[in-house]
Amino acid sequence: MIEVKNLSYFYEAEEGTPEKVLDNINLKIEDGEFVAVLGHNGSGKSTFAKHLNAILQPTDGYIYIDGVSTSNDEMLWNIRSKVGMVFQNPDNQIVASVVEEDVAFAPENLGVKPEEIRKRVDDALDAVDMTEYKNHSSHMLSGGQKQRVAIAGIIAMKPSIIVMDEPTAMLDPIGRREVMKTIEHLNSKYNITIILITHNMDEAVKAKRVVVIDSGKILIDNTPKNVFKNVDMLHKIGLDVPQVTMLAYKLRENGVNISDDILTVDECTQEIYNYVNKG
Amino acid sequence: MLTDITLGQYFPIDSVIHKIDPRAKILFTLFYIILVFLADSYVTYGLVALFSISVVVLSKIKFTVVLKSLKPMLFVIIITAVINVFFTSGTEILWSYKFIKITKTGVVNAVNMALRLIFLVVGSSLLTYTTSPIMLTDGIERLLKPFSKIGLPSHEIAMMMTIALRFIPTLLEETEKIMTAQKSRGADFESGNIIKRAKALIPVLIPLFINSFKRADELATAMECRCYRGGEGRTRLRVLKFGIIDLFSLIIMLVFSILMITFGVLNI
Amino acid sequence: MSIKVENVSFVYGKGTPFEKKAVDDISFCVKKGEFIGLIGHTGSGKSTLIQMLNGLIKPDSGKIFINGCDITADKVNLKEIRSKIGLVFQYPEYQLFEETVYKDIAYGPSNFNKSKEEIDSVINEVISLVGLDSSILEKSPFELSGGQKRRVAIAGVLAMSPDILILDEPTAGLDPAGRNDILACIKNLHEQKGMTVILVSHSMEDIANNVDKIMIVSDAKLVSFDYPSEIFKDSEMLKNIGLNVPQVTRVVNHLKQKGINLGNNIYTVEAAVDAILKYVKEES
Repeated sequence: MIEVKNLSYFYEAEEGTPEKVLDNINLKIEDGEFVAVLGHNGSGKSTFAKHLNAILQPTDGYIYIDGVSTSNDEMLWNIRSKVGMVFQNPDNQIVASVVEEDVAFAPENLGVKPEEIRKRVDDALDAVDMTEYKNHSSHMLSGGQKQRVAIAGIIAMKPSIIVMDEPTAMLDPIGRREVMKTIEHLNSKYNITIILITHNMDEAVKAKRVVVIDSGKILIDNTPKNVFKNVDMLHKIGLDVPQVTMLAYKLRENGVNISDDILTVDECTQEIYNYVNKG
Repeated sequence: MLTDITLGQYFPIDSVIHKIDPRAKILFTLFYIILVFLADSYVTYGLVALFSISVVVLSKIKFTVVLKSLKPMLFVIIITAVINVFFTSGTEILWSYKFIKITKTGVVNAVNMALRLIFLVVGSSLLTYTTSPIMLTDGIERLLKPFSKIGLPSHEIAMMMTIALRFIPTLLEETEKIMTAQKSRGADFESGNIIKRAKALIPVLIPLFINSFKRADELATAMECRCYRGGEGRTRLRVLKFGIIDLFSLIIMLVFSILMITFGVLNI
Repeated sequence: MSIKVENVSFVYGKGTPFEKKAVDDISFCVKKGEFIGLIGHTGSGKSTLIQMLNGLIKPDSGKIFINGCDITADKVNLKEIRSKIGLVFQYPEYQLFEETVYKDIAYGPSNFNKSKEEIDSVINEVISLVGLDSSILEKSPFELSGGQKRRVAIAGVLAMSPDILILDEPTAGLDPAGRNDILACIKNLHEQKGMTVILVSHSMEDIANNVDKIMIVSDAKLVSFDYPSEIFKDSEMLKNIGLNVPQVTRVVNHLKQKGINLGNNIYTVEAAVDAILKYVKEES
């Protein structure tokens, strides 16, 4: 479980006054949740992510992972192995030239016994469906495959939480689909808590809970349906809504009385169908 | 293309040579290099050639790939040969024109040097072709371990090598991308004198450096996230054990050494 | 400026184990002032194709005519062609290198021996074309935000005064606001300056909202080159090569299957709203 209490963070520039990046954030995330953190570039969402595994320390407030504060130096490695982190550019997180050797990097660092490392590497590659590539050169893989290897490298630490900082931003649609499928699979099958940092609304829709951050503050924290209803507000802070949500919103503006929490093509089709047949 | 350079690349194939303990392979390669310098006759070159070809065959790596590894070294090999041909003095003159003389010793030396260089490149390329970078650095780390008592940072050296090897292809690709992009903005890397060409590279080098620093920064964070904290208490996926293949290769290496010493040094 | 491509082919790494057909017998024509959307997966050959158009890659066979001039001929001035056909690569901000934004944008035109005055005036023009304030010119490109950097990089290509602009995924990695800014700027270039534009994108929504015609490249071949209305009609073909039609078009297609025919040519939210309102009115 993650508990964030009154978290504030000031970025200390070399000159000038410190800049407030995070402003009194309070949040509780239970085990096994799938949360999307949505915000535009510079909203503070990545800074927030880096606090969860003690890469950054709060200026004010606390973060507790299963009751342990991330400021507790003695528990640092425990926290880092419990809260895995995947970043945007897969090229800059893969350390080794061969897939399975890269996946082994974290357990090696943790001093896990060789036989156990072997097992963890095999399991991790299986979880991201990359077993057949285990002896491949990491450089020759596609973007989506590289990112799945990066995820496997995190899973090999056996984390209970994985924080993904825009994991699909640099991928093409096929890569995005692969990675999103992997994320959903990890959440549903392995019950790993997923925190997906993104500005892509089509991905945020897949989460069970969406937290919108702007100027370092939490604006909304609700289900996708209840978040994407707020079309005007999301536009104001530089975010979009799915195209079908926009369609429903524009129709409502024109007096068409259909539901305001449409997120998928099927829902949208059904609502318009019902409306037309009624009218 | 830059990305065509194969030197230092690993080919993951399942072969006997791939399976030899990296520590043994590194030592064998060093030995091989010394032995190559002992070669100076048909018999000894024959032996080296036979040994090298057998290793290539056993490694299941295509001959064309091995030959390609010579390409970047071709210039050095030719220069060395030419220097030897023209600048070795000797008594038996084959051909002369004004002050230029070609002696028999010169030709022999040139052939000798060229052959040695070729075998050296083939041998060391085979080491990197058949040993994954991690195994290679692992081997080096363990070979250097005894020296860490006198302050040699063996783990750090190995880690740096791992990362360097991992990023070479990425950076080559990036260099090519930046060059193409600047070319489309009218950059010209092919004409003009050396100074002009060096200047033309600035728009490539600066972005390359800046991007590399950014990469390094991100990689460092990613490594911290994966609990990297230096060599202390680190374990390994692969445990290096001296196995039957290593024993066999040791015996073959010994036989090869004895033959080379017998024919090369003792001239029997 | 028109583009005419005749039966071009290109094979990568000929004779190596990595040999790959990148472009296979592609022909098409782009008229002056057209806005073309180019869609294809990574590795489909679209990057090779656009690099051929400004002479960075020479096709193995086939010809490319830019305004009637064959750029695949032997003694052609490639440098001049590159200035006429501006190519903005993916993540172009990674090519910025100068101390100031001004100097960086000036790099292109100064390579073409433009005078100081010409460069001055062109920079003032392009910086506003990409929607940036001229006060940014004296700043270091490295202290700008991601979206600003990208616009500076695009300005650097525009400064060569190209007649044709090719952009390879200009919105990749940007957030929605940054994406909309860039797309608006490209649309503006096309509408105000009459520039011929080829936009490479993965987003069907972005393409559908902007372009006149769509070109689909898959497996090194040109699969389709037609108006959006025709392309989106054949959603099966798109699905087969792993591409999606825009969400609204899918809604319209599903409604049609259920017996509600809103008509064709609907691939933007606005068009869908109009069509639905019209349908409701006519029914009642």
